[in-house]
This record gives sequence, C-alpha cells and structure tokens, in this order.
Amino acid sequence: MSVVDFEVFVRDAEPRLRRALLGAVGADRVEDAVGEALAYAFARWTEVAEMENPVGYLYRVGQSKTRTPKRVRLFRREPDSIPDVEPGLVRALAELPDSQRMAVWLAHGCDWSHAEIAETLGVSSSTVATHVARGLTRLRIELGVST
Amino acid sequence: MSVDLEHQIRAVADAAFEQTSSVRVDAFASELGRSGVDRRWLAAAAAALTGLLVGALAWAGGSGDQADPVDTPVPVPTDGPTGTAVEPLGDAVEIEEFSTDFSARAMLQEIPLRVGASPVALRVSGLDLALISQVAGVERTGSSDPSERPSEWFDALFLQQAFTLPYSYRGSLILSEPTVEDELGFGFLDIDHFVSMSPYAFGDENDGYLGDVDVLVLRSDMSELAAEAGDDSIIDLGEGADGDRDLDQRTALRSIGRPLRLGVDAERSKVSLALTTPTVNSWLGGAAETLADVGDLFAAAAALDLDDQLYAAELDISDRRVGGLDDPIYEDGLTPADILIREEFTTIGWGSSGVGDTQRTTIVYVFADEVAASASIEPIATLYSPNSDVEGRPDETVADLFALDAVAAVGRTVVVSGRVGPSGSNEFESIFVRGPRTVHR
Repeated sequence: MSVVDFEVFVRDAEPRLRRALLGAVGADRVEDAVGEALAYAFARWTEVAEMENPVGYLYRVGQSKTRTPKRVRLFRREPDSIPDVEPGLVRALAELPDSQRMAVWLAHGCDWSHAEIAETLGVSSSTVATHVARGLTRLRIELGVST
Repeated sequence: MSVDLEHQIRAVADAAFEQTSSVRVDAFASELGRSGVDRRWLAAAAAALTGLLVGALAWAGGSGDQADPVDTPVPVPTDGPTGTAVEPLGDAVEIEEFSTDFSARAMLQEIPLRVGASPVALRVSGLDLALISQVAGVERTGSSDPSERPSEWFDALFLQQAFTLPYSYRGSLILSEPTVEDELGFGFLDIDHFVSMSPYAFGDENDGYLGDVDVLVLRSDMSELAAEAGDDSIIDLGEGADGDRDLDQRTALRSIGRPLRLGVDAERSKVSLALTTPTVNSWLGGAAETLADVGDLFAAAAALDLDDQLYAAELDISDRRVGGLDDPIYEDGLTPADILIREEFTTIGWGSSGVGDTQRTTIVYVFADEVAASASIEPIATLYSPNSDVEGRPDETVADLFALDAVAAVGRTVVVSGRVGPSGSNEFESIFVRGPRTVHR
C-alpha cells in the first residue's frame, strides 16, 4: 500500500466518480459525496486497490453517505440554454425517478456500460436496460419529441 | 420531430460537470506509524507527495475550476509518533435510525432545527452505553445510589479511564442522582444510547434553543411512559409555561425549577427531553430540518462514521477566531505563535471506538474548502505530534495523552486518527476542548 499509489488513483478516478455522482446526489452535494467516498477509500486502500471496479464501488459509498435531496439539482447555476439541447431536458432529467435518472445519467451522461452500471447499482443488466429505456421514454414524453 | 436524446443527455452532463470542482486528497502518513511496513517507502512517499500536490493542483486547474497556485510545496512533518500501527477503519455505517443504531450522523438527525436557522455555537455529544458495555465485557448493572457503588460496570466505564466519554449535563445527572430516576420514570440502566445537544448561548443567537435537548433510546418497556404521556405524547415534569423558573419546584433534574417536557415515542423506544414544548413537538412530528442539515456538522459526522464501531462522539460548532492579545486563550501562557491553524473553521468533532489495543480515536476539522483543508494538514499534524505541548499541563506533552497515527485531508475535511494515550481517556478532553488545537488566527 502506498500513499503515492492512492494519489495516482485519485487523480485518475476522481473526475469519473464526480461525474457519476453528480447525477445521483446533485450539484449541491457532489463534492462532499466524492470526498466521503475517497476518505473511505483511503481508510481501506489495501482492499480498494485490489478491486476490479473501484469507481463503481466508491459510487455506492458516496451515494450511501450523502443525504440525497428530495429534488436533485443537476446545476448550481442552470444555464439559460445549452447548445443543441432541447429546452426542458435539464428539468425533465432531474425529475426522473431516482432509478431511471441514475441509469440514464450513467449510461448516456457518463458512457458507462450496462454491465458496469449493473454491478455498481447491484442489479441485473436487464434491469439496467429497463431503467434506461423507461427513462428515455419518459423524457421523450415530457419533451414532446419522438425518436 | 426526432431528436438524438442520448447525445443531448451527454451535453447536459458535460455542462453540469463543468460547474463542479475536483476534490483534492492530500494524505500524510506518520513516518513511524505503520508497523510491518518498510519505512523507506514512507520517506519516499513523503517526498513524492509534495510533487504530486503541485501536480494535482495543476490538473485540478484544468477540470473546470481554478485552483490557487502553490509556490512552495507543503513540508511534511518529520517528528512522527513513536510507533503504533495504523489500524484500518472498519466498514462505514449507513445512516440508520437512531433507535436502531448509533452513529454521529444519526445523532444529528435527532436534534430539531428551526427551519432556516444556522447554529452559532453548540455541542452535540452522544454515547452508546450498550456497545461500551459489550466492548468492556461487563454486564450493565448497578445503581445511581452512591452507597451501592461501585458496580463492576460503573468501575469499568468511569473509574478505570479506559473509555473516552463525552460530557452530557443531563446524562451525568441521570447517572449520579438517584432521585432523577424517580422523576423521569427511567434510569441509566434503561438507556441504550443517547445524544445530548448543549447550546453555548441562549436566545435568538442560538436559533431558538432554550437549554439542552436530549434524546434517549431506552431498552426497557415504555408502556407506562406512553400511558402517562397521553394523546400528545408529552409528559410535563414540573408545572408552568415553557421557561418559567420556580425555585420552589427545584429538583436534581430541574435545578432552577423550570418545567421539562418529556416526549415519548414508544413505537421507536425513544424519549426526548427539552425545556420547550415546540422543540419536543418538532421531534415527535419528525422535524423538517435537523442538525444533520447543517453542512459542516454533517461533514464532520460523516468522517467520524467511517468507524462503524463508534460508541462515543462529540461535535462542536462555535466561533474559533483568536482575537487580540487580550484574548482569554492567552491567559494560561499561550502566545500567538502557538496558534498554528490559520484557515477558518467553526466545526470540529471526535469519535472513539474499541478499548486497549483496539482503541481508536478520530478527530475531524471541517474547513470552507479543500484548499483550506490541504493548507491545514501541516499545522494540525504539528499540533498533534508527540512533542507538542498540552495547554494547561506543563509537565506533559501530546504523547502522554494521544498517539498520532495519521493526518489526512480529503475534500474540505482534515481527519486525525490515532489512539488515546497512557494518561487515560478522561484526560483527552484537555487537548480537545480548549487550546491551540481548537482555534485559528
């Protein structure tokens, strides 16, 4: 075990973890969630260093140790518009049920595979696919758009 | 109209991510604190850490946030402790309901907060009597009647100084005054674990609190309490309106005769004690906001909860600025040079678990951001290093009270881990409650 190795791990993993947790706990709490997950990793570095998917594991840690607000805010300062993005998508994403929002965010916001998401969330790949499909359908209905 | 929703979600995620800030981790491991590990890598790691710190800052500057440049690396303290192994912390606890589990965060969830209030100065203390008894290997027996002491349990917890225990005003009364059991309808043998909140000031500046608030989880049958409480689930101890003083009604529990409100949640085997009916009603009804909603307190509690065998915890929030040369902190011989922490912080906490060789104590500081936390590693490590003085104890050093294992900054907290030293747990308060470790310039 090495403090240097841990620092290297953090440098590589922190952005991916922060991006993933943003969709779960929101902009107001994401840094604290990441900090708590990394503190946990530091305390158990010997074990975490051997994991195949440490970021997925720490995602669960960060999510479990943070009080998720009743309504997640994805932005601290919501932009007036985002180029080439449907108006209302940000709000619609934030209002998805937690399971659908997290699955859609990880799959399409973070480019995680369904297998990675399944392992992280502790569900089957088919369940992930269902959450993603239902989430996208719900978004299309909210936005009044088709595929 | 068809849209490529998947790509749009990616664009939203990109934009949202750009508004977040990277979380820095700067870890310092005591040079002599890890038995069984080649110490040569620790020296090398310490030297490499300074380079990584500069590199991490440069990298963080490209992640959508501007980090302050560092001109000189943070030097690593070299006077490490004389060596006990760093014990890995156990599994982190989830935020269970306080009646079913004891944790620092669950403690905070029990104390109602006036909606929108920001606590200025208060202390939250919690103790898991059931777990301590288990750790000590003693059966919980005894009496609060001094003539019947000591019991093996009382001796193990309070006389042998094997455990670091936080202070609770009403907790100490319940333990030491036989008449309190008669007035409350339960005694210390009935208490599984509890949390106490003590404000440092009364009035509006303390956000509506009038005196201590205690929440106790009882292991005894609560049917009698529930029956006495009636429909509103509140038992009035003493007569009068909230805050009335009546010296003719003085008791050991109510020293100036103020009535106390005892809220009874029989379903969850919990009771709450407070001087005001609104406080107890808020607790009974499920408070919209609690101390767990105070970011700094919650951050401190979360750090302590990394240890899932916690039996004692204390969290303290107050103004920690040191004023001019007439500041009371200098009355006992301290000088401005002794105040090493320069970054502002209001919240500190400590937690303990285990006994003897398994004893672990964690201390946490919560700063405004990760830059302040990283800047505070060195001074905090210096303050807890073995040769540092202990304020008010000229013949002792930190080594007599606390064995430092590691200091780490993660995000905006600095976590100190170690073990209470040979002078015993009761003396730990000397280095935690006051002195240069608890203030900043």
